[in-house]
Amino acid sequence: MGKYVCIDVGGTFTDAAVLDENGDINVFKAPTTPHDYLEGMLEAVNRAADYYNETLEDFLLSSSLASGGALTHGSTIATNAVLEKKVGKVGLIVTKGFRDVLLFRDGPIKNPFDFQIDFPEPYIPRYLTLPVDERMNAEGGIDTPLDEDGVRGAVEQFRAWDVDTIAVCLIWSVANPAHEQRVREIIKEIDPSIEVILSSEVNPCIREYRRWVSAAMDASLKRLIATYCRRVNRRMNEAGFEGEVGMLNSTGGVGSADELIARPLYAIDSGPALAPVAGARLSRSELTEADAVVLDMGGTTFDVSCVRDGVCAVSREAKIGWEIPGMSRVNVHSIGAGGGSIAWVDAGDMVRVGPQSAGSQPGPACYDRGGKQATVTDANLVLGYLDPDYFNDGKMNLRMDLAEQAIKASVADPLGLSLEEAAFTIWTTVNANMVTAIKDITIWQGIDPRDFVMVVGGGACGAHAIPLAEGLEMSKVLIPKTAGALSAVGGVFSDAISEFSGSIYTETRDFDFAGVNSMLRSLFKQGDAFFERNHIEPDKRAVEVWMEGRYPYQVWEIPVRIDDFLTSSGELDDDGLRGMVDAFHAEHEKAFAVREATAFVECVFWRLKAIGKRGLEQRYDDVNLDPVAAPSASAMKGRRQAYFREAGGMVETPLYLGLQLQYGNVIEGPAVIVEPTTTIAIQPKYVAEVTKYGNYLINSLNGHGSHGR
Amino acid sequence: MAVVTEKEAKTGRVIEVEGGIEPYLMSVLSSRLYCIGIEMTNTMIRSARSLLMSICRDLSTAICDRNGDVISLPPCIPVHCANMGLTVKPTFEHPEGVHEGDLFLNNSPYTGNTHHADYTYIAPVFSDGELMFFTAAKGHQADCGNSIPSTYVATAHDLYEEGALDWPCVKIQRNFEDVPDLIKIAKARIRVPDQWYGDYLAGVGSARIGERRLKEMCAEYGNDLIRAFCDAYQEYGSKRIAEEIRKFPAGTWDYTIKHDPIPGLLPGGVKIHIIATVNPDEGIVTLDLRDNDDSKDCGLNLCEATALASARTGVLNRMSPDVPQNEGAMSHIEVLMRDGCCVGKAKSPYSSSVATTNVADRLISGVQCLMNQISDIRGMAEGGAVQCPAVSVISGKDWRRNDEPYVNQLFCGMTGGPGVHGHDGWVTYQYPCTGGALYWTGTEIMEQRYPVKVLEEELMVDSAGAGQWDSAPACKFVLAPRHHPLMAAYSCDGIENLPKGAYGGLDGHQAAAWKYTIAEGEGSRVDLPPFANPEFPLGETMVSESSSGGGFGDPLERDPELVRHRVREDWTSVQKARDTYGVVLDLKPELYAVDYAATEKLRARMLADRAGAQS
Repeated sequence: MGKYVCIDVGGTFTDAAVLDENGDINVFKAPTTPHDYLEGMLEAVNRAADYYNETLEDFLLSSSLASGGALTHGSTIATNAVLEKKVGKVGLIVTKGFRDVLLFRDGPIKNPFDFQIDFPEPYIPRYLTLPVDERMNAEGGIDTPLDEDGVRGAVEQFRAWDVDTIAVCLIWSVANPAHEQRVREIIKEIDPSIEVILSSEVNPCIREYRRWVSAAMDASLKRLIATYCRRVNRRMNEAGFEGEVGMLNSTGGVGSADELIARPLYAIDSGPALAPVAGARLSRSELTEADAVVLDMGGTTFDVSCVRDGVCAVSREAKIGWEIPGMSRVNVHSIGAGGGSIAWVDAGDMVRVGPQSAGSQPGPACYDRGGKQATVTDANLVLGYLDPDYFNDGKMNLRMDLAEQAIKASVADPLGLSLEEAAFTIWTTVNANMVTAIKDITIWQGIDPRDFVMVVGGGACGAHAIPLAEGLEMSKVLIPKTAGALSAVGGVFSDAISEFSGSIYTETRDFDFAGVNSMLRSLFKQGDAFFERNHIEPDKRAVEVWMEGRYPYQVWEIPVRIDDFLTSSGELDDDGLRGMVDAFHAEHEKAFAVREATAFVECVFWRLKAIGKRGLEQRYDDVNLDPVAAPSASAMKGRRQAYFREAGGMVETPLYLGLQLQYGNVIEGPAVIVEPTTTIAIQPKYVAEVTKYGNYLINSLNGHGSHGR
Repeated sequence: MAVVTEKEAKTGRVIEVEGGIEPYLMSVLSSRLYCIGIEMTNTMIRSARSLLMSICRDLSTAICDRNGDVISLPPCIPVHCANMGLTVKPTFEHPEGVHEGDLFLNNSPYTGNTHHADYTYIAPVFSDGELMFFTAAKGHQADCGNSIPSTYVATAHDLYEEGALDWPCVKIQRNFEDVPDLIKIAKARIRVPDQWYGDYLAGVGSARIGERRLKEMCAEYGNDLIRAFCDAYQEYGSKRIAEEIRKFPAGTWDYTIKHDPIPGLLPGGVKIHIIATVNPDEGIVTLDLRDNDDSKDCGLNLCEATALASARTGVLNRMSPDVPQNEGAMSHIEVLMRDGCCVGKAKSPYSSSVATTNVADRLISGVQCLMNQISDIRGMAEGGAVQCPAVSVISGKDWRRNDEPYVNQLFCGMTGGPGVHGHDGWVTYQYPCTGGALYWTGTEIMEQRYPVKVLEEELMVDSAGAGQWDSAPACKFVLAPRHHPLMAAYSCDGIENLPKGAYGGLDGHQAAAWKYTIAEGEGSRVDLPPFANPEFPLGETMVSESSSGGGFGDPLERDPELVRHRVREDWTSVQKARDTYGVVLDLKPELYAVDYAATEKLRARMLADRAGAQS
């Protein structure tokens, strides 16, 4: 076996995770280089090669397919391109009378008392949105035939403006795509070099805004992602890697560059979508648990995602800026709460944290880069949760005096609090903000997370894990030693995944078996084609089939997994239908605490997820399999003052070196553990236990529920 | 620190927590309340049955303290919420008293609610036998049993002609169980009863989930600490808003704004006169609404709750949006009302069927514009006038579902955002009283749900109220029935009285309601009355042109690049760019270009002409 490597490009850092020949995982970080992302990527790989005492070329060779390895890549590049509108020029052809669908959206929601805000411009300018006369009705019948001359006129106009990608977005194309398909034929007749994207193919959902904006986004990323994928492959090949770099996507899986180029919309958030993949894996391997909440706290943002029954939770509601493209992708909820978030006191003497951030430039006051405002990192330093001499693997020293000055000036003095109380209030406030964010994707979606595992990732999160768990009454907390690069770790283990979906509206009281089964057949066919294209062995293939439905009059669908109800030939029959309806009632009760057993179900979406299993496992060192409860003397780095309210304030606290801890070690709070890429603050009445894989499991000594954090 | 309220004084309880509430607890508990509010709102949205609630979010929830005063609001509809205390407090007057397990239904505009279509479900929250909080969940019903299939009857002479069921804060649950007789009455008198009962369950679920969470919070921290926190948090709101009001000068100002007439019923329309007094030392703004006509024989009368919420909203629109929305803050906006006034406290049998929109929207616009005289901070023009046919309550039968009846309000096709200092108007603002908090119903969802067809939904060129910052343009919306006839009930303001601009900004667009036959095209236009519920047979279409808000600031000061952009996007014509904004464009480049030399000359000449006309 060779090395499995994943490179994840984030806003501040580019991470590389390596699963090596011994089955061990290591992570490496390099600064992200926005002028040329490849520079940062190669630097991260260089650092990994150094660690393994190999040349870059040898390291990459050992990660090549021929050596039994793999190299995968995820990033936020597509996300940033969309947010900053640094994307390709796209022309939109729409049904006459509907030029403003991308403007109105679903009615973008703002604070109703806030008017100091510009209405967001439509994703595609209106002058590049050309109407043609045609109309399908809700049942897929043709009310107005397609005005083919109108289409030709629009295409000529686009050519005059050098538009090389056209998205075709027609009302009810999801019920009958014939007009969209005919428009494509006409465009290709005129100029075969124009890329054509059909809304009915990119995201066949009912709700024209979502379908259209996903088509527009897909079109706008088309050439950008193609160029980017080719560059990544070329540069990696030049540096010594053999074969093709696997491209991660927003379903939390990996595919070939060609797959991503064909559907570039799925490049969005391909990095962050991997954190739950890592979380799912860790919960299973460490605790044999299938439900998890996965946290990732970095310098500027706090990302939360959710794993249910081992599957990363997906959502059609995930936003990108003001847009909701409405395709199902891994649901990563992000708020502006990170180590760099700025603390301030408002006019009513309440301490607030964020949304402003000092980012990495100037960064927290203690970075000594000119930042004067108190940040979360400064508070963690003053509270003694960070070691000033051992930050980011000892590559950085933190200035305690500057952190103290900033907190004194911005919070302690205005409120007449002591320095420690002020820092504690900042810490508590950001914890409350993060608890709110976690509730957003769990409790508010009808998910009770109390029995879930909390997987804590990101360099900054270990100092906050315990109060977050308390705020949600979660008792199982897992902090991986590779917390600093959780997404990259997820990328190492990701399976080859692609999703295919279709929309057929039918009611279970008068079920359209023929229509649905024909849809399912088409989805299975697309799944098989994906497996073939990606050379996935039959024994590595898995499919999940989902129906998204609702009760009559409801408008928000909930997904139900239905593969168990299909016949051996992949169809729904009477028995299968009954099973599906029962499963829907059960799922509705789980989500909303009520079921309406006598109601029929309106079925709206059908979705197939094709999975090519990678089947990788991390291994542990057999030598150290005997658990040892007491940490060795070499693991003790010393003692320092740290603030623990339950222990009465500033108390002398032992400091442990994570690299020197071993399987079975039990560390009782108050204590602080420093790892190269993260720091863990263990509160009183909690213990951390080192697992077989060298991760940390946090346990409460007296149950949860103690408040005040 | 904690103010002892009248109620505590009565019960002899004085709450003191040694040293006050620590700052970190303020963060933790306020954030906890906020989370509970969101959980209530989400529960309601996700389990509601009518489009109005589940898609458009015409609903709001609130948490009130033990005195019935609002303490925390999640994101909400302003007209629902800046007054929720009024809706909750009648529970104290219930002859049986307030007990654990009770659930009150209040939809009565005469008993502190907004209008009959807004059903508010109120649960008292007890901890160890002590009343600690109330949760309130309010939702706009698809139907409330009115005499016509609409939740707004503008033309009703009185409560009886309006026809709605009136629930004056009654117990619809005791001991956590439905009172079956009341459910029976509601089901018998409301169109599409199953849809109503589904929405009822959503409202009950929302109020009860809030109750459960608040009880958990009280159990965790203890009743004494929670009570002290509530008082400290109200005090915090009070401090925050006083800080804002202190920026204003002392003085008294007034403003008049008019709602359109209802032909044959209300020939003079409704004139709204507002007198504002600012006392910066005490941090109080007083709005006097008493100098207005008595109640009218129509459905437009404002009740106490909607007059209060609208007046407060007009002021809050001009404050930092970060001011907490609790009674501690909102009580700094005092609203003086008069019994039996059409802009104030409507009394039965005068109808307040349309009390949440129309006159309420005009009142908000009036207050926010009055504030322009006081301060230029966050200046705003008047918002668009409301309830064009695009937001009709539509009803009929669906041939695709065995002729099942349907009734529901549409929320789309109405824009309305006024020009504000520094920003063009918010396009999907819809109503001043919703401030852009409602979602917009898409065409496919609407056509899947109802047997209707949307022929057009687009902005209208040159329809924005011009200014240095334009209002959002108006929207044209064309709807046709499929198979069976379609009834659409609307109450369209803004045909006679156009929303006014501010600081030199021009007036908004004139609203219109008309129809044509598909066979003959738009040439067969027939104008429709402004307040009506016409039926459209197959082959006819309903056309709605929304109003637009006023512009803010002088159009000649508008950034020429913004004018160029709007012309390129076909929001503004080349002609209007020249005549109204004094901007000359070169149309040859793909994105057009400003001819700066010609623009400067033209603007100088227009300013000179203006000066000449004035002298």
